Amino acid sequence: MSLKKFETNDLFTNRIKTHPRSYFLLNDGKIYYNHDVVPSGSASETIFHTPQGHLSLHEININRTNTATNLVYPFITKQGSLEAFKTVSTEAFQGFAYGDEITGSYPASATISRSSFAQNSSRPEIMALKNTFNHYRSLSNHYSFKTSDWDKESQSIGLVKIPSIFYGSSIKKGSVKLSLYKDGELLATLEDKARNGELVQTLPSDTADTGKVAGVVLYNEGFVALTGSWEPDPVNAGFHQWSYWGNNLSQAFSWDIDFLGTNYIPTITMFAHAKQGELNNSTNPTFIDFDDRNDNQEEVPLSRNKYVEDTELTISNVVKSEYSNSSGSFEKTTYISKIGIYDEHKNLIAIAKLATPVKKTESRSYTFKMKLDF
Amino acid sequence: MASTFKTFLTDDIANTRTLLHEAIPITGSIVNGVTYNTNNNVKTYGHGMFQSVYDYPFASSSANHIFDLAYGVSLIEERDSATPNEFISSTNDFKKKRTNIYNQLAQVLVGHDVNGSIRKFDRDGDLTAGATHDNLLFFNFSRLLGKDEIKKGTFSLEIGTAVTYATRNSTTVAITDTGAESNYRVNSPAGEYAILNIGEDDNNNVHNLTTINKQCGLIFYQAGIVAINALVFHGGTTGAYNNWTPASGSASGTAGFLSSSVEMLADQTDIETMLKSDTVTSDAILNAARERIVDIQFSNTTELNSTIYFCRVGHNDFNYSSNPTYTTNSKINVKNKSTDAPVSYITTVGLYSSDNEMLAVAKLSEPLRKDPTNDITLRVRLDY
Repeated sequence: MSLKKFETNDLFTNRIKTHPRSYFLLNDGKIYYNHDVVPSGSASETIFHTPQGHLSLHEININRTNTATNLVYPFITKQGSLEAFKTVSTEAFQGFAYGDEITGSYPASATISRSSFAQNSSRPEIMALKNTFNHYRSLSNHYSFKTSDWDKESQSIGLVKIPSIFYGSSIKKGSVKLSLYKDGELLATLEDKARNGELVQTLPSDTADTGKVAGVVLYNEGFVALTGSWEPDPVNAGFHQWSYWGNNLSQAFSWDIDFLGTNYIPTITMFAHAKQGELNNSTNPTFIDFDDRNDNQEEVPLSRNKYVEDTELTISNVVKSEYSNSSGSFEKTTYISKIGIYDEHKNLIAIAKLATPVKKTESRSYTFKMKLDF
Repeated sequence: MASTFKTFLTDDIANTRTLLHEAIPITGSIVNGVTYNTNNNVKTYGHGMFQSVYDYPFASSSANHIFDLAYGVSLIEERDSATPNEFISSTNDFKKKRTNIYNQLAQVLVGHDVNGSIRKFDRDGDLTAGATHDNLLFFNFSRLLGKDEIKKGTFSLEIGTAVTYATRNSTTVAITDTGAESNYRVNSPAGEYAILNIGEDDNNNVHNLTTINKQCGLIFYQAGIVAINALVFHGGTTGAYNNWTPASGSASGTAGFLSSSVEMLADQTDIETMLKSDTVTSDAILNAARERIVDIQFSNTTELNSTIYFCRVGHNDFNYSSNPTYTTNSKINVKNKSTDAPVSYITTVGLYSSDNEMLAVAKLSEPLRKDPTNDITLRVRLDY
């Protein structure tokens, strides 16, 4: 088999930017992720052994009885490389002898969570984000940790925490939308229409609070800080402020958050050229005329020391004719069915298959575009 | 963008390999389909060549494929002993399928001999001589469970041995690869494998078996395939497969490892009867085997390869920063007096290729103070 080498312009690398959507609905103390209701398990709340709204990383112990002998669990043997699970503290690790099994447990899961901090209450999570808030002051003054109008160290504030498994590299700017419902009816929404991180109340559209900024989004870090201290819908007042977003009120009220993540997929695009006059020979046995393949008359006798190919083999003529038993004008023809990609050491590392074989004659030229993402 | 680079020396890079394991219990109630009534978690196929066992009803997207179960026979053993040139059943298409299963797996797992013929599964792993397994029940575990390989010495299959079908699992025996950590074979094209042995059952039926007669199957660790001689279920007294003779004087069966006249299914007798039947399908044989399985246990292995880069920061290195905020009016911000020693805070380590292309970035959980009085080694681990 002959190999062709990719030339400079035949290979290029780029990355595809994707935006996976995530939607969380909070109702009656439960979280629902992407409208999915996981079936309840016989031994736990759901068959994944996680609460509703959690994304289970391994999904391995499906509906198993919740006993130690029934569940799959990971373990590492303590050895010289000193590896352990991140959940094992240094102190606990030192307590293991070499050869001991250090066990973990499944499931590992993630979901959004929220914290609310009343005025002047302790708030270590907010304080840890002080530099981050101030870093984005250039986008909007509402990121500022402290101004003459507010101080995030003491004001009433809510923090929605979104694990990165839901958004990838960052949350897409302008995609965050928070809403409040009563009996299924949409009462109020917050949106970042200016794409500068400010969450502005857009519904109801005719109140004094419409257009006010109720919080900011830390798009790269996966946090939503809510500082709005007014009732989202004065008509239905009495069920908390934006800073208490997600608080379990009653079954009638629901909160939701909708956003797009950003995920990059590195991609290599390859162009494989089948030029005129090239790739018109095949090592496939059927490439040789049937009669010549089976006559057994011109073959050189097999020998232990040599292999000599038949010098006169007739290529099968596959030119289509309107008439039966017509030979037609001979034309070297092959059918390209797949393309193999080799590394510099000629190891086959990938195969691209065509949906249907492509007819290649000496006068035709093709360029095949192949994409490899990882 | 870094303005100063340090080159790794030979001793600064170390490669390590960590083995991560998972303990996998598969209870009999999953395998025999009892947990999900009417075998909703066991998928059968029209071709009848194998069954797929899931951990949840297979119509659900939450279900995980656990293993495939197939029955295979060597072609020679399918011949009728009375009329050696004829197959046991001339009409049953399943014999061909069962033969194909055996041969296909034998090609992959045992390979071919010098003449190009397909080798049979050997009982003791010595391919040059000795007895072979001619009737095998294959467990093909999914990669989800088997991962890179099954951990040697951890496999255990417990099967029910009681005579009566209704109480079939009231006595049990375990088939294990005990000792395989150091006693395994490497002459398979599919990687390493070991011999599976029968232990003693609750009635001590097999405790006097000779070593060769305890060898009831093979486990292929990297392939994730377990092959059990189907005749471990055989309890009949007819002699063609008389390889499992218990201790002399035992009250139990004489030809199989189970007692004689054992009921494999409610309306069937022993496995040999089922194997020779024209009407019993492979599915029926597989059902019978599944319903005798009490428990399967093993651990899997995943190799985690790591490269550790020791980034050594000498006392005179990296005490200055090219960060724009580091200086104001040509003065270092973090210094109180001009005579103070320079100081910087390390937050990030960048790993670069020989062409100075950034390949990876390691972030510290908190900035480390660096000045000429200290010397730091940062350990950066790259897993893949």
